[in-house]
Amino acid sequence: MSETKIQKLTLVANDGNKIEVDRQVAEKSVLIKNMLDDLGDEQMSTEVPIPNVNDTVLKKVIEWCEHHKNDPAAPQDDDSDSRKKTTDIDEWDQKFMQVDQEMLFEIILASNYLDIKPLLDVGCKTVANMIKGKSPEEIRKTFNITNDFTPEEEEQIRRENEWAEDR
Amino acid sequence: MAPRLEDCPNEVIESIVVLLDLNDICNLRQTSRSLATKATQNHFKSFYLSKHVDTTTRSLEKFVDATRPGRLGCLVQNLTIFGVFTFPRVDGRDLAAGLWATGMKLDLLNQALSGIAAAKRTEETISLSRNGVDWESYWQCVAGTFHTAMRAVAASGLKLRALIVFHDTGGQSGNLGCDELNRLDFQDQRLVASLSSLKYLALSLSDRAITNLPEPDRSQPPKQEFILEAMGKATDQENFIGLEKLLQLAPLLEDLEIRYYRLNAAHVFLRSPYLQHELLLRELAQSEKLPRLKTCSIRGIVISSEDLLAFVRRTAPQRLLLDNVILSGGIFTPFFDHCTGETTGILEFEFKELFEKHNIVHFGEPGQGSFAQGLQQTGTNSSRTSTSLIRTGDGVKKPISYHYYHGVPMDTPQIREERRERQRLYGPLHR
Repeated sequence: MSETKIQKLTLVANDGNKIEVDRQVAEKSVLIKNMLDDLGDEQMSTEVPIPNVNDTVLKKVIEWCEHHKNDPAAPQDDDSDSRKKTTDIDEWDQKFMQVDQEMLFEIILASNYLDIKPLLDVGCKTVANMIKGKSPEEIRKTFNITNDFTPEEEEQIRRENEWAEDR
Repeated sequence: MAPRLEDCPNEVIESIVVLLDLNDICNLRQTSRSLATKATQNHFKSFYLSKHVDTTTRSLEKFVDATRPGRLGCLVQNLTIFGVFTFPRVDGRDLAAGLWATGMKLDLLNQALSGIAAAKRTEETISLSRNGVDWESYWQCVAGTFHTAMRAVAASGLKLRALIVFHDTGGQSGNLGCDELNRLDFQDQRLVASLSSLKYLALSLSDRAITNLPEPDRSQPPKQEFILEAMGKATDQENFIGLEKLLQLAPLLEDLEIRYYRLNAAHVFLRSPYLQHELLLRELAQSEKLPRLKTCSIRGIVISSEDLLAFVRRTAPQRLLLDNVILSGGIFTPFFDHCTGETTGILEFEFKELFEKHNIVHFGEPGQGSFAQGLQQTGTNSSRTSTSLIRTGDGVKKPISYHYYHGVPMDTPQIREERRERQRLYGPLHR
C-alpha cells in the first residue's frame, strides 16, 4: 500500500482555470477536507473541481485561506455565544473584505459552498455591520433592494415586528 | 448575474440575522418580501416563544391580532398573563367586577388562546401574575385574572404543560385566595382536557380573604357573632378542597410547588393562630388520588406532623424542598425518619427554616441557614449547626439530628431585612 500523502491540490474553478494550493490551505474548506478523508489519498485525484466558484473569487478565497492556514480549528459549536455576540472583525480581515458588494456576496456564497465557516463568519459580520443602525429604507438603498410589499403586507410585517419587540 | 443580499440562501441570512439586534432584524424584515421570509427563521421566531400579556383591553386586542391564523404570535409557548387593574379607587371594585362579568376580556383572551391552539397542538406554559394598584382591588384582580385565564384556557382547548399561578421566586406576582381554586368549573370537560397533560404546577396561595368583617375595635373584645362568622369563613371546607380537585385533574403532574401566604386578615376574630392555615394540606394529605411527584416544593405552609408525613408518603416525591414550614402540632422526627429511612424514595431534599413548637429547628451539622446567624449562640458547639439542611445521594439516608436554640435573636439591619423578606413572602399580613 502506498504511503504517499498528497501535499498539493489543484483546484479547478468553474471557468476551467487551475490553481495549485498546499493541502493545508485547501483543507480550510471542510468540503474538501471531508472529500480527502472520505476518499483517502490513494483514490483522491489531485485535481478538485469547484464548479460553483469562478477563478477570481476562488483566488480571493484561497488568499484568505493562505493567510489563516495556521489558525486553530474553530470550536465545534457553530452557535457559540462569542460568535453571536460580536461583530468585531480583525484588521486583516477588514481590509480583505474591502471589496465591492458583488465580490462580498461571491465570497460569502463561495465560503458557504466550500464550508469555510470562519470566512463565512467574516462575510456575515461584514454584512451585519452594513445593516446595523439603518432604517428599512437605508438598508434598501445600501443593498439595492426593491420594496415589493403591498401596503397591507407592510402593515402586517410592522405589527409582527411590534409583537416580537413586546416582552 | 451578480449575487445580492436577497440571493443568499436561508442559512446565510440566518447567520447574518443572529448577529443583529432585534431592532435591526425588524428593519431588515421591512425591506422586501424575500428578506422578510428569509429573516424569519429560528432566531427571529425565538422572540415569540415567551410573552407577557396584561389584561388591559388594548393589550388583549393586540394579542388577538398577533395570534390570528398564520401569524407569528401563535408560536408562543410560555405565556404570562398579568392581571391589571387601573380603575379609580373609589368604585374600583364594582367597576372591575362589572368588566369581568361582561366577559369582554374573557372573549379576547379566549380568541387569542384559541388562535394558538389552532396553530399547533403542542403543550403550553401559562403563568399568571398581577399588577394591582391598590389593596382594595388586589384580591379581585388576582381572582379575576385567574378565573378569566382558566376559562379562556379551557375554551381554547390548549393543552397545558405548565401552569404557574402567581408564582415567582421573588414573591412579586401575588397570591390567590385558596378558596378561589374551588370556584373552577371542575365539571367542564374542556378544563379537564387542558389540565390532563400538566407536568408542572406552581401555585402561590393565601388564606381566604375575609373582607367584610368590621374593623376590629381594640378597646373591647370582639363580638361573638363576628367570631363565629370569621371562624365559619376561615374553616369552610370549600376553601381547601379546590386544591385537591385540581391535583386530581393532573394525573401526569411531576413537579408541584406551593407557596402559602398567611393572611391573618381576620386574626382578631380567630383565636387559634394556625386554625385556617393548617387545613389546606390536610385535605391533600387525606386524599387517595394524588399524582406521584418527582419534585415537590412547599413554602410557607402550616401543617401538623401527621399531615406532613401523610402528604409526603402519598405524593412520594424524589426531590423535596420544605422552606418556612411550621408544624401546628407534633414534631418533625417521624417525618425525618421517613425521609431518611431505608425504603425512602427520596433522592434529594432541602429543609430550611422549619418551626416546631414555636422554635426554629437547628440541624446538628453545618449548613447555609442565614437565620442561624441571627441567634446569639449560647452553646459551645453552636457554630456547627444550621437552620438548613441539604442532602443528596447516599447522604439522604443519614439520620437527622436537630434541636432548638433558646438564645435571644440578634437585632441587626441584616436580620431585620431577612425578617421583613420572610414576612413579605409568607406573611402573616395583619390588616
